[in-house]
Amino acid sequence: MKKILIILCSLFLVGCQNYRELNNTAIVSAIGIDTDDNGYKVSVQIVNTEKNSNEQENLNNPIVYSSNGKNISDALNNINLKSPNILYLGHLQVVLISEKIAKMGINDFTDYFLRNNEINKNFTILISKDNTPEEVLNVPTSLVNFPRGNILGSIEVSSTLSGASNNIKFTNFINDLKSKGINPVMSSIKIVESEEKNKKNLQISDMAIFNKDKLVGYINKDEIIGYNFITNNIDNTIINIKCNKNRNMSIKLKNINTKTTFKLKNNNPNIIINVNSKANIEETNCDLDLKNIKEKTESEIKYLINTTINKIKQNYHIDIFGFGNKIYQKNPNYFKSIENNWNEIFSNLDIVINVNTDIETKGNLILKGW
Amino acid sequence: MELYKNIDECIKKIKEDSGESVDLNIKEIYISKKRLVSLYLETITSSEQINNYVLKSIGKTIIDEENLNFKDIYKYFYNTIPSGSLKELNTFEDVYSFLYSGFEIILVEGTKKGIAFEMRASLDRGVSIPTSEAIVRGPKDGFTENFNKNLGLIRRRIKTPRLFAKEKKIGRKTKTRVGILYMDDIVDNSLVFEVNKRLDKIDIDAIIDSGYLRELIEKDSKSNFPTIMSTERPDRACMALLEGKIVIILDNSPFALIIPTFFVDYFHTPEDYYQKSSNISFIRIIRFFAFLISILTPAFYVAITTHNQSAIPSGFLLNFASQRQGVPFPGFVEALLMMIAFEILKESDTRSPSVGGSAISILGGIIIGDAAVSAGIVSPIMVIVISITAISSLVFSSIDVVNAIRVWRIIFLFSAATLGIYGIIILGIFFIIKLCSISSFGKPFTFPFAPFNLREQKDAIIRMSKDKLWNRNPLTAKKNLTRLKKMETGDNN
Repeated sequence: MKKILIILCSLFLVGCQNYRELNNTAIVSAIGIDTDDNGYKVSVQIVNTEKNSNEQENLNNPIVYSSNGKNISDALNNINLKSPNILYLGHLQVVLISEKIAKMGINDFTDYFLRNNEINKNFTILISKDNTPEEVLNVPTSLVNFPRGNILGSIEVSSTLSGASNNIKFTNFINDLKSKGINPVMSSIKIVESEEKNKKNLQISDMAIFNKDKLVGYINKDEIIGYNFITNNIDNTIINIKCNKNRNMSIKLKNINTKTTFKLKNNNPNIIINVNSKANIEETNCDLDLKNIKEKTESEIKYLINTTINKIKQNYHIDIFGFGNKIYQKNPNYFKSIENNWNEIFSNLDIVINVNTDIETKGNLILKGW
Repeated sequence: MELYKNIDECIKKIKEDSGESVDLNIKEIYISKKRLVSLYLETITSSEQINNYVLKSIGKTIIDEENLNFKDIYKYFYNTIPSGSLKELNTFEDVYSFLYSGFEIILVEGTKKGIAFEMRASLDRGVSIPTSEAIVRGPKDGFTENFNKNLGLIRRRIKTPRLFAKEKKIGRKTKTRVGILYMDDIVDNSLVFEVNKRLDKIDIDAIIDSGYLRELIEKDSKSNFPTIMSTERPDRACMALLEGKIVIILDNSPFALIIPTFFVDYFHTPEDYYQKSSNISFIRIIRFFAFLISILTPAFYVAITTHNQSAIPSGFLLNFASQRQGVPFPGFVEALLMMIAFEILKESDTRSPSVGGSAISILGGIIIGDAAVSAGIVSPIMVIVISITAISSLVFSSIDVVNAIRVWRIIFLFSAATLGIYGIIILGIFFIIKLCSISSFGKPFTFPFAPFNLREQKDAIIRMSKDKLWNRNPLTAKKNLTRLKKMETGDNN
């Protein structure tokens, strides 16, 4: 009897009982975080589950609650007082942070998201550039079911098709933040006027660069592609090559694979970046000699990578590519000796870029004499 | 009690004992100077046959001897009456047992003896299509209420003397014929001994159907999963016999019992062996899925909507949440209500005469399926969940399995409502332990999974082609393990 009692207790007195009816639940899809005079201003976007609102207009209109608080949980508790239902963060998909708070440093509020066991840590983290997070959350989006799916969808599409953005998840961000020899990055979002009247749309914009947890600047679309080439985050992209004044050619790159290695040369670190890819001609109206395509493509990729690295080196002096991390993984003792002035070393680092591209299908459709 | 010498006293006693039943026919006949009395029950004997053969032949022949003794009369009847079984009677018990089994009795004056001829009337229906186990391709005959016909249907398929058929009479009042059939050259003798032992222990007044017998001998299982299968199909019974199992047939019951039965048997149908193995393997996997679905779906739905919302994709959750808006009951109560409503619908459909049946199903379908949803009492998704559950459980032809599934479904629902997915897993472990602890007449119920037998996997979840199924089930068949002898591999062209 005693044994049975012990078994029953161990089975049923566990901390998994969190009974919650869906009717009384407000499913939070996105949280916006901004600063205020006396702390944080937190906005939550709640998914509209009204049954009778069959018209799209109603469903598209997001429900947003905002409140102030000393910290995140305090603000969320204040929101709970306003909302008729209990906030449920289990399906949180996006966290938006304002530029202001990013400049001040985001380390302070990440604790809440790491500590809360209800939250799935795999949400996307974004900076709302130019607008406050609350404004962004209030934009009606065109996807009916899950309003914030719209933002995620556009990040997903642009990162897989062109590598012009990165879907940075919270876990990745924290990983980069806590690792040695690497600084995190984050995508940003902004509101743009739509062609339709009185309608606004959301658009993925530049990528924010962080020095540790503080925002220091942005890089633009081309530089994002360069960044993705270096960090091996890109699979497909299209690059444009200029032949002469008004003629150009689009090359579609696929199976892009980057390997970064490092060597010690005269006690100075040397980084070698090898980029391998396959390519197709997507569109051309050039009179270009087809033999030169390979060289042109390779030099274009090299140029993309070089400009990105040079901009970061000259303007920011911080390693967002994780070269330091590569060195640390390979030779931790050596990295420890240079860790304190790594940013300085990075700014003068020798970087060798080798690009190899195989053009799979060549051919000149527009024959001479046509 | 011995018969009286005085035939009038005999008749008086028989009349008294039977309460002068209306169907008791008594007629006096004289052969030379001997007085004979013919007794039979009009309802269960064939009066036509008695008139044509017995009475006619008595009247036709006059034996001119002064002192006929019983032996002469017995010999005379033995030679002239066209009846296979002729019995000599000495006691009233004999008289009654034959009289009430449809025999014609002739008592001979002054001899304390009587003669019984079998003159049964056929009271049963003909062999017809089994209604509870429908198949598409395969034999369509089913067992009937007649013991001899049932035995005949099996004998017609297995034409060997090694098919043993032993008979017992069980039931103090009903004296029901119980036939124990087994292949002597395959069966495990200890199993036959065990079955006989359990049948002998039964001391009950009546056995009306094989269901009585099953409940009385199925004592090693406290689970609600049936460890003795009942079947209406002679081909299924024959397959079981050839596996070394024991088949029990009963008079007055169209359901034969198969001993022992394994869990996996409920996922097999006789049709599985009449069609291509690859197609059947697919269907069998579907059946296993249906089993899981019919047990777990309501529980799983309740768990993910009330406890583990983070376990499903966001799109699903949103869908569920918008459907749950405005439903007044908690998810668990809603599920329970719908399950009860479905069971009521099913039961009323089974019991109602076929005239009203369609009205009930239409009314139930419309009310539960449509009106309840639009009235906001239940959510549409719950109707889908319960429908999938119900349809999946109807994959099983055995009503016993359907009932067992229903019980477990409700238990799982309770555990999901209290502990969510964690509760389902805890109960699932308990369920598997429980299932594995069942034994059917000493054989593990979950064979060939636990204990695992690799060779028997050929005919468990999948069915391999016939040439791979060369061996019988080693757990039930103890002799003659080879089913299929190796065929000639040479080229016949």
